[in-house]
Amino acid sequence: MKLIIAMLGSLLAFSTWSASAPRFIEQAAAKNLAADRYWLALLHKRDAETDSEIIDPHFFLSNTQDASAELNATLKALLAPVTDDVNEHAQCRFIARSHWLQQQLPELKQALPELTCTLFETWSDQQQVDHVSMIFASGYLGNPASFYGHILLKFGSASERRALLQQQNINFGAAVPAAENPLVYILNGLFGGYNAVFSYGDFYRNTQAYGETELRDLWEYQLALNPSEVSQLLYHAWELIGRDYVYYFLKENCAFRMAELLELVIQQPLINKTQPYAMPISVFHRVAELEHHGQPLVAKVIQHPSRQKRLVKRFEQVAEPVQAAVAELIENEYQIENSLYAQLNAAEQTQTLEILFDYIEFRKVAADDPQPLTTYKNRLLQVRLKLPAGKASPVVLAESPPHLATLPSLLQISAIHKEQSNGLELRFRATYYDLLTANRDNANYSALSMVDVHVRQEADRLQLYRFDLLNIENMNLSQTGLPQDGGFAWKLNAGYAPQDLACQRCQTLQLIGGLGKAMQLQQGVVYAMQDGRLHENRHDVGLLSTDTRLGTVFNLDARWRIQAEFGYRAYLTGEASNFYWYKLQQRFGQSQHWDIRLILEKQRATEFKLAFSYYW
Amino acid sequence: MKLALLAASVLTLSLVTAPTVNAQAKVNPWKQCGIGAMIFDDNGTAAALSNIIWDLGTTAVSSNISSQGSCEGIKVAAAEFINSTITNIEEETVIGEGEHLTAMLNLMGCEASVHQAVIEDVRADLDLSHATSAAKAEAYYLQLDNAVNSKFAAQCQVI
Repeated sequence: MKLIIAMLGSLLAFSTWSASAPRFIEQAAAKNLAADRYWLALLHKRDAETDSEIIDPHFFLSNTQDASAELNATLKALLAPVTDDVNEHAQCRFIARSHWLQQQLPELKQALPELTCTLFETWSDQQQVDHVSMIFASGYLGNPASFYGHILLKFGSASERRALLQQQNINFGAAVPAAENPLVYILNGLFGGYNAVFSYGDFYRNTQAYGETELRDLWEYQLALNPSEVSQLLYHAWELIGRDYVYYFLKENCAFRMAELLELVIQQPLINKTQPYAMPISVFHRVAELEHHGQPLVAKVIQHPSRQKRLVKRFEQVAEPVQAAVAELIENEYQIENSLYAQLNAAEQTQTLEILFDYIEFRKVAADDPQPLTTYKNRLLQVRLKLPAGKASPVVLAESPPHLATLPSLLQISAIHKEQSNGLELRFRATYYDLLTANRDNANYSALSMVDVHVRQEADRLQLYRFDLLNIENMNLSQTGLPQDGGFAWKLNAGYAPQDLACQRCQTLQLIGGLGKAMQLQQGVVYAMQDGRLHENRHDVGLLSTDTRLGTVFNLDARWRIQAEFGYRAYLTGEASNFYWYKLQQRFGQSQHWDIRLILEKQRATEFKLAFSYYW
Repeated sequence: MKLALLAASVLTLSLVTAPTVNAQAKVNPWKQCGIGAMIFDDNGTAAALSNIIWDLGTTAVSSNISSQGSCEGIKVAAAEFINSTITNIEEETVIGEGEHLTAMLNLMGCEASVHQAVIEDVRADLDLSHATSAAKAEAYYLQLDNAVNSKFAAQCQVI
């Protein structure tokens, strides 16, 4: 009997399928749906003529990139009877396409075979998603690919059984083989040598990888989307998971692809497609300024602090006796007996232990052998276990969110006065910030820039005056004063620059590496650095030189920051004479979009510069 | 002919598809499902559906568990969660509350009304002597699973 019913069912489904597909294909052609912008967006085609940006053949049902052929094949597949695995049916694989086509062809819904996409329902938690958030993982100087941060998408569930850490998120990144050669990694990343995919995972995997291991804050931007838009995103994200794209580090990266995905429902550009590079932070600057359905697109911003941030904030917020007890316990290898800890009340003891938990985990990130730290922590956990259960001490963050930082790209025009001549300089810096940039986390005092070009008109001559491919300075400050918090300050610079301010046509290719130590002040930082410089031998400068530098960066006000640096240049291999130099820079203004800078610098000759900077 | 083949396929499938057995309670995910060993299945489907963390160009972590029938489901998800976040779970357990504990108990299928009681039960007998994260995670999971099965079975239902 079962057999007969199954055979009859299949017969009926097949005959319905055979009969209805051409009808809907005709209707779709009459409405010219294949040329609809939304259909092209679902196929990731910029227009009908270009190929899709997805290179995975499994994304296409027609074995072609043609929008019309794909639409016809999709309709046929949607109407096809269900075979062995329901999750392989087009209704389950291409849910966004299916929903959109049902909206465009009202009779289609009734003709489709009824089915439940079990894999999708499990993944989407029975579609109990009620909001979507963009997540910004702050920049990380431990890996060049992470300098500029990262974007994730998180689907927030209404179900109380799906807590924050269980929420589903979507990630986009390149498939990089383990233990890849760094040079191959850079070249493949820049020139399309890797495929990239959207993947998914629970949010806790990101809080662990970014917050606990890489010590990066996660910033959640909850978007004000309506339920239909949330569903559209969910459906299309499902279609994209695991589909191959070609990865380009500079442009077609996570920022570009996430922006593209969100544009499907926001219907406004989130990233400049003509710009040759795409940065995660730019997408956050953009969403923060947009309105959607007459409301701000960003409904709420939430910070998920890293382990290091929790340590720093907790330590800042406790009373001096607690800080002293923490420092003493670290000094005495966590021996509780006869310590300052024993003199604290129960609440203060709890605070002390929580700070030490954070401190030990922070230390373990960089430890060659974490075992002794684990042993110490086990001891402290036992101590806490003997105290009454309660609530964790709150961590007050109150930090400025990343979208309020100065924008990443710079165009600067400067008037230059020298002893012998005046000039003009035009500067373009693709990314990102320097030691004077406003609206950044003051505790960091770091610089990170790429593609920084200075073109100068001077003495009736236009020249490429300076080009920095990369410049990183990291003061690596201790934010708590506790042992092993902070480390050596360091610098890396690669570019093409003049040897000093007096010489003419004396630019050389150069590579600079520096090491030193910085110390935090109340409103700034002081540092001492030793730089080693490798450069071309032009004008008898030889191949090697050094700069010994002493400097300070400090704020007189949020709108006024000063950097003063004094140094000694020693040429180790050439005939050029050594010299002392200094540089005094000031930044005025606190806007995200502009500032004014005054620079006085002496390197054999003296130069005064007045610059207006515009950021976008 | 096509029709006959289709009908035969449907028939064959209906005959060979066996009912799924839920063997959650008997599974030790560490021993039977590869948790802790970080087995990574390299076929295309698994890559598409596994939990992979990527950064802007770099792979950070990948983990996958066996897809045997007994290793699918909510308790294995709880075991995987504990394995990944045991550091936070231990801290929150000695303190007495926290978002990792909430997520963990949700994954164990426990109603919110018994979360505090389960935490107190685990806290009362917590073994903090293990030297490695993997050993801590396995011991914690087994203690929790035992507590849930013996004292909170009615309020902690795997759906």
